[in-house]
Amino acid sequence: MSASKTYWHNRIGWINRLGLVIVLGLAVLVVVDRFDLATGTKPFTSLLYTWVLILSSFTLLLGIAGVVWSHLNRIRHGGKEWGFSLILVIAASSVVVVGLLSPGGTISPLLEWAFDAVIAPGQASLFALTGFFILAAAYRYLRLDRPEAPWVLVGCLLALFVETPLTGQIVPAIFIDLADWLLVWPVMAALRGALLGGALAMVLVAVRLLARRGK
Amino acid sequence: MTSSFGCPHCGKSNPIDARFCSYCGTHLGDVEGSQLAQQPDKEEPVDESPPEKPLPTKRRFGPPSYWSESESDPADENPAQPSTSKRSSDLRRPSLRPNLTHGRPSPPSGERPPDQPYLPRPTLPTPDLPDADDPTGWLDRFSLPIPVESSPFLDDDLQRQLREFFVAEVPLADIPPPAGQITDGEGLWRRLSSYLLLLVVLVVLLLFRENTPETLPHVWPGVGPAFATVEALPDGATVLIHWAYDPATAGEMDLVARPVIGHLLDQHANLIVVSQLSLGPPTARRLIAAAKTLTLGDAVARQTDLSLVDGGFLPGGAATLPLLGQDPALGLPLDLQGRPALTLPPLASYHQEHPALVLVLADRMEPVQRWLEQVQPLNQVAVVAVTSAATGPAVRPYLDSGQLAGLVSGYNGGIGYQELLLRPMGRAEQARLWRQIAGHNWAFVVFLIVVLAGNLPAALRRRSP
Repeated sequence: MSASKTYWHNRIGWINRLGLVIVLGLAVLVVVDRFDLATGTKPFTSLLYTWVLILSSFTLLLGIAGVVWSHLNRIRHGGKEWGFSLILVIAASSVVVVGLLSPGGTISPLLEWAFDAVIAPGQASLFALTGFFILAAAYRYLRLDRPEAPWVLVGCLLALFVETPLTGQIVPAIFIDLADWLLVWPVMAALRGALLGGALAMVLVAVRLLARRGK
Repeated sequence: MTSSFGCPHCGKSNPIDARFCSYCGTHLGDVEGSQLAQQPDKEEPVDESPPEKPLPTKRRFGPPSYWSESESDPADENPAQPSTSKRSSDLRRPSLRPNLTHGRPSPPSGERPPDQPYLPRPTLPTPDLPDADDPTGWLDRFSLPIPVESSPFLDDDLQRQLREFFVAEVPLADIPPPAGQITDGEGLWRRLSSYLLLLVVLVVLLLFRENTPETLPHVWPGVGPAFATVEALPDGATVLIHWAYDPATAGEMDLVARPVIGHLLDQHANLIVVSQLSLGPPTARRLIAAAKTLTLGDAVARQTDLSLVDGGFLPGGAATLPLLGQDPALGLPLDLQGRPALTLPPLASYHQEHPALVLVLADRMEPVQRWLEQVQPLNQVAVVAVTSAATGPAVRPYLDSGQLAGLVSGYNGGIGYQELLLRPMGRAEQARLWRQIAGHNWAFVVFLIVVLAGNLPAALRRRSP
């Protein structure tokens, strides 16, 4: 390693350690505040949350700027599908300019129209496509000749028969109780286990990250 | 001695004694592996003497597509000859031998080729990182019988070609199925069944879409406690609404949320709406305006603008939610129109004391979970959750544990809540509700047809003898 690289490598390591000390200290402060282990911590944690609010707002603006910059580069170089990038940049710029210049701000008539005519129908249409994915998955995987598919199929049909208005009135009450019991006990037990395991894994990863000196 | 070598098919690094590549499954052969393990890793001697004949400068690097049998390079006048035992053993291994010598004249047998400078082991600059893997280690054992100019370093073009070669995806040969083999449900029968299924779905949707049976969906528990909690609010109470759905799921969520919002307006509650979705505030404005018109009528609805405070978009996710419970003045200092809190009675009262109720409208479990974990322990305010049908079961345990005061999930929960209100529904609202029920019923029928169609080819599939 060259001398200059060694110098910067040592500097970066030291800065990483300092950052980790700060993170650890703030984490301890938040834990103490949330569990009421000490008094007088509320003003400091409120200040921290406010800083997070400011940072996240700036991050949002930075992300928007990054997206626009990457699309501008694509337009400039004539990259693949640059036409869509041009449309995106023009639409984004129009919305920003209208929102900033109009007296109503985000509730100006033009922005309300853009929401009602473009954004809301577009989002709803995209979400509606998930129905086709579900049908395709049901056609492909809910088959009796697959190893665990019969169990999934039985559970799926039971829930559907109970929930659907067409069949919910003719299904015996015992099936409704069975579906309710299945949802509350075994399904939720599995889901809760997965959630707890995921949360514990996050804690362990965070501790490991702190313990490895920023590597 | 090198402890790993590269797969000739995908280039990934494998242990010396591996018989199969752990990435693509190519058979590597244990005999060659043991030979590689025993052979010491020594550098090839570089011949610095001037060559007798001018050597071709063209180097052939690149993906295996470049190494076709028909390809012949007339500029290669001096085909390479392996002069060491290691190189000859490498060439004997069919999996490691590229088709570089095809089309080129092979050297006469029995004649030892002159000791020509072959392509020396490339010394690519290694990065100054302690954990860097050497991606070019397999080149040590890969001899390219192309005589090239001896050079201790690779030029930029060659380095770029090497990088492209290593990252390029190796094209796999299309192996057609053997003739006469019975395919499993493929071909004409699968296509016919797919078209038939599509035709049936279209016929059902087009011909029977107006038939709406007079049945109501099943209502899960939690609706009654939610109604009782809202009914117990004092007149003019401040209610904080955490709006966590956007137009993507508004088709279902509006049906669930509208009765609850209407009930709050009946109780003359002051609503403060805050959202962590960028499209949450406009969605909230539209639904509350529609609920006001239905509940209060147009004239009264216009007079009650001050009862609704649009807190706008709150960025930061779970990290900034505690502000709403711990220090609302910092979380909501202004409303969306920029009016300070002191000028708005609902916000002023919210800053001075906790709200009477929190309503979380969410199409997923995470917003409800975050609120119950981050905010409720700070202000101990009762929370009523209004969720989609898919989220209802996941949130039910919070209702059973007492963390939630009520739960309204799915449009069937909205119907159940509407029935408790004892208020007749408008015609437009009725039509929308029956459309939802009819769509639900026929979606179930289509789902059943799809599942049956998926199992039919398997049942009718011919088994191979």
